[in-house]
Parts: sequence; structure tokens; C-alpha cells
Amino acid sequence: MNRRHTLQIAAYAARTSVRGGIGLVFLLLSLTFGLLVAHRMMQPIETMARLMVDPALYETEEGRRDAELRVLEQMTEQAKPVIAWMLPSTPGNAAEEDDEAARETRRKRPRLAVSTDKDTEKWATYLLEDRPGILSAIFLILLLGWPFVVAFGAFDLYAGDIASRQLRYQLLRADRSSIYFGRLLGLCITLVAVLSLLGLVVTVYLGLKLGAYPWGEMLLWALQGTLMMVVVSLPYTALCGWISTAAGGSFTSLTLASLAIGGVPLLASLGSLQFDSAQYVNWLLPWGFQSRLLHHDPLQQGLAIGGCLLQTAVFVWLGHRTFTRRDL
Amino acid sequence: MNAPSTATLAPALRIANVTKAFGATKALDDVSFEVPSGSIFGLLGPNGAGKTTLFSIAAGFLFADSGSLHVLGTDIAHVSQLQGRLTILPQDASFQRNVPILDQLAFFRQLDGKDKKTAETEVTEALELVGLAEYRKRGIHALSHGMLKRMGIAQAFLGNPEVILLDEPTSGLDPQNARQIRDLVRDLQKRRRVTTLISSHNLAEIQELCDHVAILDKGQMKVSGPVDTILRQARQLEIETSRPLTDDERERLAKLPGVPSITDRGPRRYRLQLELPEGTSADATVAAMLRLLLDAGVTPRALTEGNSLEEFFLSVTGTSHATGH
Repeated sequence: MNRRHTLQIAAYAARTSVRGGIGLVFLLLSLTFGLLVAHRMMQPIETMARLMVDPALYETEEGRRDAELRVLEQMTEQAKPVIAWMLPSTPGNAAEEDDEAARETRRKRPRLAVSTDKDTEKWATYLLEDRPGILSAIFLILLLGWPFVVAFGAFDLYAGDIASRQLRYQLLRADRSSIYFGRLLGLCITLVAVLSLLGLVVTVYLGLKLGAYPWGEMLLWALQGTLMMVVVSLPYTALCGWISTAAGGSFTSLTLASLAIGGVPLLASLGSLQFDSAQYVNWLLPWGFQSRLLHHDPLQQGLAIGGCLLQTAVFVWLGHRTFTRRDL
Repeated sequence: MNAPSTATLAPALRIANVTKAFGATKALDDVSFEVPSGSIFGLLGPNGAGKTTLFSIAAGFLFADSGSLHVLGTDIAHVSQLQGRLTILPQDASFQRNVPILDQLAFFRQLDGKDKKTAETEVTEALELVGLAEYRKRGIHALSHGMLKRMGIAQAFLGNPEVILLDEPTSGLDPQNARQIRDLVRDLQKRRRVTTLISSHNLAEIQELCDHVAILDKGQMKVSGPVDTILRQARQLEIETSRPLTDDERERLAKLPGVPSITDRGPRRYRLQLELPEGTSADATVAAMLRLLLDAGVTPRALTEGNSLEEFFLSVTGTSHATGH
């Protein structure tokens, strides 16, 4: 691999990605998805605040802010079990999982109450109270949907240019490894840029609209959340890259990438109706542990980051192997 | 007719026992030949003969199932080490749609190690060669099919390549542009001794341009060597006369030593089959024939020894060319 070529190709790919139709769709999709999530989180607060206070009071800036803060506090309290439900059980619950009677009881409990063990509650409290809660909720939802957005950005990393034989002009001038890593790096640069823009826009939007959290606290949490979004993007990007090197065309690549990313949690959910252990299918991709990237325990967070990086390495290796051995 | 041979013994391309199959179809079957350095080498074959597959292997796009291929002494597995010394016009590769032509081509030169300014200057020069300089800041959507082909050729002529592979460079071009491309290839060979491997369906073009030729058919190498030598393998003379020959004159021609038969090829064109001992020149027969004609008051207008490339090609590939298979 040639470092100069890799960096040149990365810079060129990042520079020209938005010019191509798919790059532009990815950028718009990312921003639309992020802002839509932020807006959907904000809308009930605004609506309820309007209903709770005297309309005359709501007209003043102070009255509006006060009402929204009260609504936010109430919502935070109510959202705790929902957030706890969204978070996976921690390994500390393994004993309960192994107990057949406890498992039966868990099955019979209402779905929302599942996994509300002490550690998960602590985690939910950390996300909702110790950190800007609305931002935490936004990041959790973004984490759920982001892998599909990544698929839209990465599916055509190689497939389209292999099909149109555009790559052939580069093949005489740079070795395959440099092209493979250069393009991957170029997409990662684009992803970081798009996620930074998204994080900034959502944070500024929340800060201006709500004003419930100090700017410093919000920016710091937004930075951490964005960083974790970048981390979770890596294995999905590498997976899509691998699929893209193997697929015969863009459409096939997009279909396979979407099926792989969506199919894993679907298979896990359907399988767990019969076998509890089927939920571990989620661990084939970061689905099984990605929400731990926002965990209060640094060890859990570190393990989640490690898991993402390990899966990235595996998918990158598979993609590189395919790309350097196939006919182009 | 043919450009003077400038070939030396050191081959620019050495292809040895290359085999490539796509599923059950064997695209190349144990193909071996050498392209002499500094030559213009024509690769001929009917559709589906394996020419583009061979070009693709030579450029490192495809991997051969077996055999070896060296370009300028470098194993094609390390093709990127050639760094601009080898360029290609691929047959059906496309360019990026939304990036200006100048940016795309300059990027290729930057990969070759040139700085941005030098790269852009070289690209502009290459585009001027093919008459596309005015389009350099536009995207490929502004170009017609023929212009795209010329852009591909400009890309192949970028920098100082020592070996250029041109896969059907003049197909889809009007006669004027096709002529311009042929002149460019000839000029590059004369000025810089650039080795050019060129495939074409236009046999007259290959005969006019190339000093060496190879014929592929159904993935197998049928013949390879200097054009003159190959064409002279057919022991025959073709002559055009100022007037039709009388029966008596035809009979006297057929009685010349080493001429077993004479056939009509047109109202004033005749072909004499030669039967000469191996290694014997046809010079004596030619001299005797010319003397006989001049004595009879017939002026020879044209004389060709051996086959035309087209006839030779058809004799080697059978009817497959005519049927387009």
C-alpha cells in the first residue's frame, strides 16, 4: 500500500463525494433524519407547555421557558422507563436470565417494564438527569436509525465504479490496497464531517429552542455523542464496504447492505420469541452493544468501543481481501 | 504501407501461456506472444476472440487463471509500480459524471506523482491533442460518444507513457478524428519510441499503422509476428494492369517458372499463385512477369506480394469474422 496514494484518493473521494448524486442524497438524508428526530423530541414539549400555562403567560419569553422546563422535568421522569426499556440488560442480570422462573416472569411482564433492573435504571438516570436528557434521547434514537443511513452513504463505495469500470483508470496508477483504503478513508472523512454538522445543528437548534441546559454541558455531551456516532458508523461502513466490493452493482449492494443491517435485529427479535439466546444474533453487528457507547460506566463504554473497532477490523479485512482478489 | 519496423529484441510486453475462463467459457487459452519494444502492435480477432480480456489482464484489471504477463519487465501483479509508464484506453470504462474533465484527468497525473499545476498543464496539452481543450472545465455530460472516446485517448496519452494499450481506439470516431488518432500513435512512436498495442476491427487501419500483428480466435493465438513476414507467407503476387490481358497473355504468365495458376480478381487485376522452393525469393518471378508484360505492351499499375491483411485474417479465422461471432 502506498500512503501518498491512499491519502490522495481519500481526499479526492471526500472532495467529490457530495458532487455525485448518492453523496448528496446521503448528506440530505443524514441532516433530515437528525433534524426530524430533534424536532419530534421537541414538539410534545412545546405543545404540552402551551396547554399547561395561561396563554397570556406563554406569550412572554420567561413564561414560555418556565412552562417548557416544567414539562421537560415531567417528561424526563416519565421517559425514564421508556429509555430504560430501550437500553439492553446489563451483564449483571445474567443470574436472572439463567433462572427459568425469572425468565417466565419476565415474559409475562408488560413489555415496557422489561430490563428495568437497577443498573439500567442508573444508566437511564445518567442519560436523562446527569446529562442533557433530550439530547441523550436524540442520540439513542439516532443510534437506532443511523446504521441504515450509513448504508445509504457506503453501499456505493466500490460497487458502482466496479460496474461502470470507472476504477480502471485508477488501477494503473495506484495499487488496489491504496484504492480500497483511500476510498474507505474518504468516506470516513465525509461521515465525520456530516456527523459533526448534524451534531452542531441539533445542539444549536435545541439550545436556541429550549434553553433548558447550559451551553457548555450541552456542547460537551453533543461532542461525546457525535464521537460515539462516528464510532458506531465505522463497523457499518466497513460492512457496507465489504458488500460493495463483492456486489456486482449499486442496487445489489444497497439491497444486500440494507438486508444485512436490518436483517440481524429482525432475526434476533423473531428468534427470541422461541429462544432467548437468539437475541445474541444482534452481536453479529454492533446492534447488540451499540447503546452502551452512551453508558455511564467507562468500562462498559470502553468495551462497546472495542467491539465496534474489532468488528470494523474484521469487515475491513474481508473487504480488502475481496477487493484485491476480484476482477475489476 | 507499413511503418518501418523500429522493434528491438527486448520485448515491452511478454505474455506467456495466459489462460482465463469466465465460468465454462474459456476466453483465453494458453496465449503466448511478445510485443517488441518500440513497435506498433496490432491485436486482431473476431468479436469474442479474447482481445479485450487480454488487454484487461495486461492492465491488471483481470487476473489470469494461469500463465504470466510482464510489462516493461514488471510482473503485471505489480502493475501500479509502473506509475504512468503504462497507460490504457479501456474499451468500455466510463468517467465520473459530475466532476470536471480537468479535475478527473489531473487527479490521474497527481497519482503519477505530479504536482497539481504540472498535472493540469499536461492535461490541457493532452486535451488539445484530441481537440477537447475547450471542454476541460465541463463535465462529461457535455461530450458526445466520439468526444468521450477522445477524452479516453487523451487520458492514455497523458504524461510520458512507454507502453500504451488502445482497445479499439477509433471505433465510433468519424474518419477525420480516426485519422488524427492514427497520426498521433505514429508520431508518438517516431518521436518517443512508445510501444503501442492496438486492437481494431478495421483491418486496413491495422495494416496501415502496425509493424507487428497477432491474431486471436476463440481465445487461441493463431499467428504472431511482423506484418510483412506474415503477409508474405502467402506465396502469391497480385498485379493490376493498364488493360485487360488477352487469353494468350494469361497463358504465357501461367507458364512462368513457379507459377502454377493465375486467377482473375477484377477486370484488370490478376493473382498469380507461386510455388517456389522454401526460402526462395519471388524476385526472379516478379522480374520475369514484369518483362513479359512490358514486352506485350501492358503497363503494370500496381504490384503486391503476399496477402492483404484482410484476406490473411479471413484465412486464419475462417468464417467467424464474417458472421460476427
